[in-house]
Amino acid sequence: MSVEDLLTDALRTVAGGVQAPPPPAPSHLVQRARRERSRRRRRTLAGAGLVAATVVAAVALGVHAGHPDAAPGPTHPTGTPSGLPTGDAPLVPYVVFERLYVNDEPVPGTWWDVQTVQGHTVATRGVPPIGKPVLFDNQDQPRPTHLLDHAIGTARLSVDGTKLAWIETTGSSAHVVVRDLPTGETLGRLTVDPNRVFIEDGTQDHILWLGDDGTVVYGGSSSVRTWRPGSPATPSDVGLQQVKGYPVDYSEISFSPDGNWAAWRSDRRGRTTDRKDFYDGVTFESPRNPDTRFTIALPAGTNVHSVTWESGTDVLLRYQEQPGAAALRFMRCSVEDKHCELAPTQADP
Amino acid sequence: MVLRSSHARDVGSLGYDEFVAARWTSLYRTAYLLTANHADAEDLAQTALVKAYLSWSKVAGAASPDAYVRRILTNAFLSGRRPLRVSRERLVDQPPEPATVGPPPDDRLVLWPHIAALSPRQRAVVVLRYYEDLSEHQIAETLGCSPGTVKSTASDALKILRSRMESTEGATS
Repeated sequence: MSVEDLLTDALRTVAGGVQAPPPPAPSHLVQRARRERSRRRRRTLAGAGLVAATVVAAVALGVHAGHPDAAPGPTHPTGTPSGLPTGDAPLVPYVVFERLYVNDEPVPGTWWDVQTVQGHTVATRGVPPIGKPVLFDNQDQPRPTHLLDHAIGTARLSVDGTKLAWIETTGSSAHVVVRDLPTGETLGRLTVDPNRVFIEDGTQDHILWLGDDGTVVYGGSSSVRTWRPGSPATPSDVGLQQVKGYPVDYSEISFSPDGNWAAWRSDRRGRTTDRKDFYDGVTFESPRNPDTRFTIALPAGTNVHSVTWESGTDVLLRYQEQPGAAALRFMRCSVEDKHCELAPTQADP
Repeated sequence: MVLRSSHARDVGSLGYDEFVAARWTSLYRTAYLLTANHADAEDLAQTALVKAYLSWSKVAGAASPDAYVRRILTNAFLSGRRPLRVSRERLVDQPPEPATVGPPPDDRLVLWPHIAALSPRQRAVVVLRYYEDLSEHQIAETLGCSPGTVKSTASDALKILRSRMESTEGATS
């Protein structure tokens, strides 16, 4: 048999043995297409803006060159985390450039939104906003254990890592689902407005937070609602509450696996109320003991996006090195010596 | 008489749903042959269908909508490759979901790992030529290159496969 014949035979045999998953709902694909179309439009507008900015900059440069005594323009912060020592790669699963890394090794597929709580990890596979949450059983030997069909957007683990909440769509209906992980029991399903699940501008409802008792906070930019399985199916218009004794809401605070420390992102002086979209510090506190509160000031320009506990003493910060930087990187900070180090990844340049 | 909206999206939506249902398995299988794993195959097939929706009037009006979407799929596969990153990656030994290829490999599957190890462009040419049974001209049209380039790419791929098979046979004999 020639190589060509063998090739045809091999390809047909492999393809014939492939069991395709159920086809995606056309409505999901259409929504994705519409989002893609608006992204393209925005890109076109941004490109036009860039051209205009370049022209303005060129004119300004010309003016400045004609006046050598003119004062220099303002400079951006120059400090970067690059002077920090380099430690190990992140010990918890992470996503960079839509690739999930577990034990610093890539997992095939397109991924987004990974969350690790108390050794449990949930990550979302697919292209936003269509995603299937995948659970990983523990962070030492991570193996996927569940694949939730019909789920959309992000799933959230409870603070103690024993429960999972997600939004799923089937046909023309949508539900918030809360499941107890140790027993596999579904604690409740709440019917929600399917029109709020897909919105082109990215403001669709998603799970914001899940409490240890199954209380789920979900919503988008227009409204946030709360519901607890077992309670009347009408959710209350109560959003994320500030955690008692802390200057942050429930979605911002992260507790160490042993419960001895709480951590949240802040500015360099520990404030959370000002400059709310920019976080160049991380603050720690031993629960119920405000005297232990301290803040690690990060290099100027650093903007922290998330705080995840890697161990009882170390947090992993996902951050932008400079305002506007496309890539997110990782840094590890310790409550013991109050020092930080870079956590390199395979995606680093 | 059934009136149909003249709005292109309405016309397209009707046919689009049917197309997705009818062609999903076939697209998925081709995507699997290109990517060699289920997760990427699903993403690729979905991406191709999303892109197809964006040009649905062209797809629906094409002489062969299948061929049009296959072109989208192949080009999405080739443009989605990131050689610099891929070369640094070590894939984990466990896929994120159980493998769904059924029975254990037979003799015909000895060639499959070698096909999967070809470069993305070589793999695309091989899949289109020997699985989809397209001519060199059709492949050239799909990939947007000359028939000569298709011919040389296929020839290189076959050379590599022959040599890898000989090495495998040598090692096992």
